[in-house]
Amino acid sequence: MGESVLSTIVSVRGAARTYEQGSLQVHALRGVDLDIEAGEFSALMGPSGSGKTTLLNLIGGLDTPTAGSVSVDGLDVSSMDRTRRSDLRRERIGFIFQSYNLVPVLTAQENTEFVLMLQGVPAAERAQRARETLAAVGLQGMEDRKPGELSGGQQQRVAVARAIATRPAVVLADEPTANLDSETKAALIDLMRSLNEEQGVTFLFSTHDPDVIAAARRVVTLRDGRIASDERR
Amino acid sequence: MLVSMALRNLLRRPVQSLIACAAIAAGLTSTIWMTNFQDGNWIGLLDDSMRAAAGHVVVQPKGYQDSQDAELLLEDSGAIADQLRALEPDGLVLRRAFVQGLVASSTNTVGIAVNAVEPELEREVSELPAKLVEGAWLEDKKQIVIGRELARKLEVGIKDKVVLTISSGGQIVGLPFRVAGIFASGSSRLDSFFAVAPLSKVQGLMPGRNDPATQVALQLPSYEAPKDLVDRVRAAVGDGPEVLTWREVIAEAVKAAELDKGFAAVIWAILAIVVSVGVTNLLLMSLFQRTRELGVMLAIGMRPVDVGKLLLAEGAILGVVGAIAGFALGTLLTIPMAKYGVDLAVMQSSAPVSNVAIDTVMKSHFMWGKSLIWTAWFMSLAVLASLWPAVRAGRLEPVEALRAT
Repeated sequence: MGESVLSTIVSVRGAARTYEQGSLQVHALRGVDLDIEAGEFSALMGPSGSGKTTLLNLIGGLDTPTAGSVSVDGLDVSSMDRTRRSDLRRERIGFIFQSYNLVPVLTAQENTEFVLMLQGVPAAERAQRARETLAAVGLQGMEDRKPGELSGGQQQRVAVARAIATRPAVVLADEPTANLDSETKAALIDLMRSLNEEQGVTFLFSTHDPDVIAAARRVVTLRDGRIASDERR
Repeated sequence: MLVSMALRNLLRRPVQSLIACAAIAAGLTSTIWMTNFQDGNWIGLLDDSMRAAAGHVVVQPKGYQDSQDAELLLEDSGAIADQLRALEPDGLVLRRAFVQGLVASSTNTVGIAVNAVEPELEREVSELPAKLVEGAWLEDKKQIVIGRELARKLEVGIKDKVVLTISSGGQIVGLPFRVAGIFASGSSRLDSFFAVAPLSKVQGLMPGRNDPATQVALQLPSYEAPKDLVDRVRAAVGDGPEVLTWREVIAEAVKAAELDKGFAAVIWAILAIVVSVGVTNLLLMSLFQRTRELGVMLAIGMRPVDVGKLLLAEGAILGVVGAIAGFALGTLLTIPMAKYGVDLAVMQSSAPVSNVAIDTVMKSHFMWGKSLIWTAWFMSLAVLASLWPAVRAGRLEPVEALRAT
């Protein structure tokens, strides 16, 4: 995926998401407006149930809004079917999950190559790009290890490598430091920050972590499904 | 990478994967062994029956097929035989008369069924010359070949005289014959009442008849006869006699073969269900255990159809490995059965074909083409059995799948 020519990568307009739980209606998001510009290093914060993960899921095309619209890199996610949303995620979005979520039967190299393979990148090129990306996240020499043979911090680095190897328009990270010790966490934050500053990768986190929030250049606070504050630093 | 992932996923649960492969292999092994044994035997039995009791096309007196009345005879059978020879110069035309009566030696008299044949021609198609345990095959003289049990009852040996007596046209007629050979067919029933004698001499027991025979049979070098052969024979011999195919003449044997194949089809259906359930169960269990992992793959951009393909690839690998093992094992078990067979002589008394000396050593007939088709079918079965798990995997919603533990 090439870099976006638009400066606004993510545009959320009046997005609402309501879930049916039996006879109850749960309003996870109640009309959110948000723009994410290229090159931002932003954090979504707020208490549990405030709508952070729901908003991230809508932006990532994992879910669709019940009202309003979400567009990524100029494409309207809310009107897409499953397959097109799948294509959008593959071509334009990188994901980092709280519990790494690597494919256990694949090596670090293969996990990093996985999305490139789905994109149809030729084998030699994707192998080269995966090696370079793993080196960039400090995992040179560990390419052939499977997730079970890596520490939590190393697994999360592989997850970061998988997310950025495709050069996506935006990387969405859901509580990426939640399972890491403080030393590993600090190293991971430094890594993502340097990828942002040196390679221009756009990051959007959902987090409770004060260290991530401190590192972010923009902090959007959600409360009860609405944006309570939007602070740029 | 998809195939490699599928293989590695199967290796994560080696015992379950091995069980599924073993089920496929066992099913295919049984099927290959069973079909090759069954086909080999029925081909042999029907071929023996067709050649010894019938031909590709049989001309016989009208009404004989239903009544089996020995008094019904074709007249001028030599002329009919000439007509058939003219029609199919490469074919073998055989005349036979089936008669029943009594045979007497100096010490005993017993009931007998005689197949009156042209000795030199019959030698080419009958199993009996190879089953002789004493003496020699017939010449065109007043000779008779009898079963070992019959010889014991009559207390006769080679060159001893016996008198064959039959009822013909309301008269009792008898003729002496010398025992030329004694056979042991493997069927005690056949050996105790059956005999073969030259047609030209047996015709002497049918006074007033003009070159009589019960049937004139046409046999071709190929196993299957041309479709229009019956029509051409009918046109040649006219409306007088009935013209039947060998399937109609030995209908009981054909029916038994079809019944046996039907039974095999039921067994195969059971095997197919067991194999399918095994594969489906393994993949469904795998799907439940890997829901989160598949959710991640969907989340990072794998298309639902490709997630389904991953499960299909796992089923296909199970199918390929199981089928290769099944083919190898099925072939290994079939080879000795094809080479040596098993002698089922003691069971032949219940065989459905009367008055036919069949080869009692039941052998498999290994058919590569059919065995390979079965192998391909078992591979396909594994893929078909993985369709449902694949469809379910493709329908996973990533958000929900990611919440799975």
